[in-house]
Amino acid sequence: MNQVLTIFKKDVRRYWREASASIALLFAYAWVEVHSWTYRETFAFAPRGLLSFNFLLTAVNVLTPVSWIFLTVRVVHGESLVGDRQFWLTRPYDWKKLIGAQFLFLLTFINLPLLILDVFLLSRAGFHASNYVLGLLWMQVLVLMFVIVPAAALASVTATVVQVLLSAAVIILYGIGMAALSELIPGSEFSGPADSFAPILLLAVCLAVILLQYSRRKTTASRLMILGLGVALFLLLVLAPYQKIVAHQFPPLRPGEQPPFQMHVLPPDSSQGNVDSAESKDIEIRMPLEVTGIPEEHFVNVYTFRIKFETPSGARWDSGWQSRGFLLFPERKGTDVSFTLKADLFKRIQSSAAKVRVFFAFTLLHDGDQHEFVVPEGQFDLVDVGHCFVEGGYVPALKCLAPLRGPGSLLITTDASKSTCRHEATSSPEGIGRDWIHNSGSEPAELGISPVQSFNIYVSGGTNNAGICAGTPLVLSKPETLVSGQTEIQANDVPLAEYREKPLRFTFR
Amino acid sequence: MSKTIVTENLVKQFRKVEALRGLNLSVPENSIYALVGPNGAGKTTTIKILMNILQATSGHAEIMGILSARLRGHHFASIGYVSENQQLPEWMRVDVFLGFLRPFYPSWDRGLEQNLIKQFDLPLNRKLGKLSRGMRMKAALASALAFHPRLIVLDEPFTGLDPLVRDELIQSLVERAEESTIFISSHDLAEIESFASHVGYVDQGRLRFSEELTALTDRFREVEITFDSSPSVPDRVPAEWMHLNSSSAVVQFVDSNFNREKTEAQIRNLFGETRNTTFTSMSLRSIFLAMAKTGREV
Repeated sequence: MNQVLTIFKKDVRRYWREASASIALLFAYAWVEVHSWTYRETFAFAPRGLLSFNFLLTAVNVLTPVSWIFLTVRVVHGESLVGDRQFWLTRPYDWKKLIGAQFLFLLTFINLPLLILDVFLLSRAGFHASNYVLGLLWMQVLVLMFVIVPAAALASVTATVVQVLLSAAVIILYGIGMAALSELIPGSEFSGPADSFAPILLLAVCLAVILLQYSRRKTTASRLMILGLGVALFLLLVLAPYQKIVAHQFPPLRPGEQPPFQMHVLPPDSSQGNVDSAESKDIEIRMPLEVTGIPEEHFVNVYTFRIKFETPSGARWDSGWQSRGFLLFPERKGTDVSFTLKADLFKRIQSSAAKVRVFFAFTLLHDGDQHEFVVPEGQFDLVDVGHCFVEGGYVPALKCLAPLRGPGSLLITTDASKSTCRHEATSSPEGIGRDWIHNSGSEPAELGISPVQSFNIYVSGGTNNAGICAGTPLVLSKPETLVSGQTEIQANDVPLAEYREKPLRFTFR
Repeated sequence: MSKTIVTENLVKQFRKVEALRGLNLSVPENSIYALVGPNGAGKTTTIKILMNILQATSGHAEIMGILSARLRGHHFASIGYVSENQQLPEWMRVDVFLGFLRPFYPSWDRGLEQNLIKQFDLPLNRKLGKLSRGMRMKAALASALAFHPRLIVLDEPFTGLDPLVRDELIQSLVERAEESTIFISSHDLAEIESFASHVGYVDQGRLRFSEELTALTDRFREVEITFDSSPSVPDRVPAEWMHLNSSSAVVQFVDSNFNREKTEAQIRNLFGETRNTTFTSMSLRSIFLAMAKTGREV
């Protein structure tokens, strides 16, 4: 313990400037975060550029974790593990105590200030921190596991900040490459076992690198382990059995089993049709669909869809699972699916009618436990959500602050004609507007700096949406998943060219 | 006599470069052992392996009965190591540096620390990074001596130092000789000669010889034989005769295994009558120059 404290005191003496800067950033973060809860940038008066509030918000959100990473790197580099000239290598340093001292330093100057900040933010948002101890501690663990430990692993295999910056640049490029690659791999957005395995693998490799470096200083082996992690994550992305993952999460209907809703391809509407295709490389196709059969007090979350077609000339095309979905409610009788074709493919198939199959991965939710709620003046509590208030604007909405996590599943429904907002719309609002807020995570908190989740409830749907104001009646419910599955519709002789979306044209005079 | 350092067939390969080629070393306890040799001979590599800073490719190295690869932090509580190219925490003041290290060593002697500070005239309130090379070396040495190490390992400690500082460092080392084994690498042979008890010569990764300094200097002689007329130099001379050179009536060589009676008898057998024969003691520097030129083991 004596050695731990000796090294700790030495690090405090050496890195107090870096630690102070990191804590100062937390103060800035606290100020910006608290103001962001009530801040709304207006079009006319908001300062732009470096002075804008949004820039400040982004800056503190980026700089705060960067300062933690920098502090971690500096502390680890204080007793550099790379090289053979460091004085401490031939001193009675116990590597476990060295780790202990540096861990203590990082806990003291990163986790402890963050914990204090989080308690302050919760209190400031009107929540009692004592009710969220587990979540607050979990946030500290997440910061430790996914910010400090990877930064320490990187620092343990580098000797200088320049090397760290170069490594970080390579990692960022790798991340961009992986993100671009995942866009090209159909279905890769599905969260399967690989998604939960990847963070565990990242953490395990980082910890292994740290232990190997501190105990044996096997830098080459440690660097190879990090390289191996990159290869493993790449292979996980490329080789994951996405079709099986989709089939597992959304099992296809068994023979004879009826889907909870029916869909049919509708004829093209008047905004669609043939236009000159020579000018664009990508052709947008939008197919309107008729939807029927959704039971009352239920709705469907179409998580993703996939389109396949083939033409009599033998042209075949498969969109793969798309990374976008939509919601279907009982009163909503139609929707559409859109996809993009390459112009040369479109030219080949535009004169022929295709056999089209559309697959939907969906979840049917029961929206039973509904209760009415009239939005009061000022700040109010929304049960199982947090504190909310009406945020003005062109279309007023609710802004809510929730402790640790947003609501698990909350559906807000309004009848636009009953909106109490005074609106200068040319015609009266009508129809049903909804917003579904859902979080699937089961952990006590999410990785982040602030434990206060700030989110807007903005109802959409209907026409001339008037928004939510004091006095507006809402229907609140907590939809529950009934069943997840896959269904398919098929249409023959579909003239795809007639479903082409006409490009938007702007004319300047 | 027990051995503080032992290596057997120590090999270190850096990719295609073989820095050590089966080094066998044996350093007696309480000796002042000087490992000498030209630059790039493998001295620093040997020390870094002994200190477990580098891993040997093969072979065996022991320090105070512990495999060097198994040296852990606590073992360094009795080893004082100073190297010419060691990176010290330059941001620390001298007093902070000594104060920082103090708790690491149960045997740290505050009195000795004060003596060393006085002896080396260390400026306590100066940062290590602001010290001259000599002062930095003194600070490092003070920090390596103040805990009465059983073994002091010094890698080229005199390089680039002025004579006064060298003398101060040597003086402080000699004072420690009774309680410690001192293992020092250097190519400054004149300095080594003044205080080393043992010497090992390493060249191209191999130990060419290793023995007590007095025995070494006793067995090397420069021999000059004067004849009345030009002698006929025999084709075969004893293997221990190095750099045999004859010009007119004089023959010179270095005898690496000198024994007056034996050498005189060998001369008589090979050359017959001589006018005069002189045997001159050699400095360590001369011995090593002779060794280096010959490039052979003796």
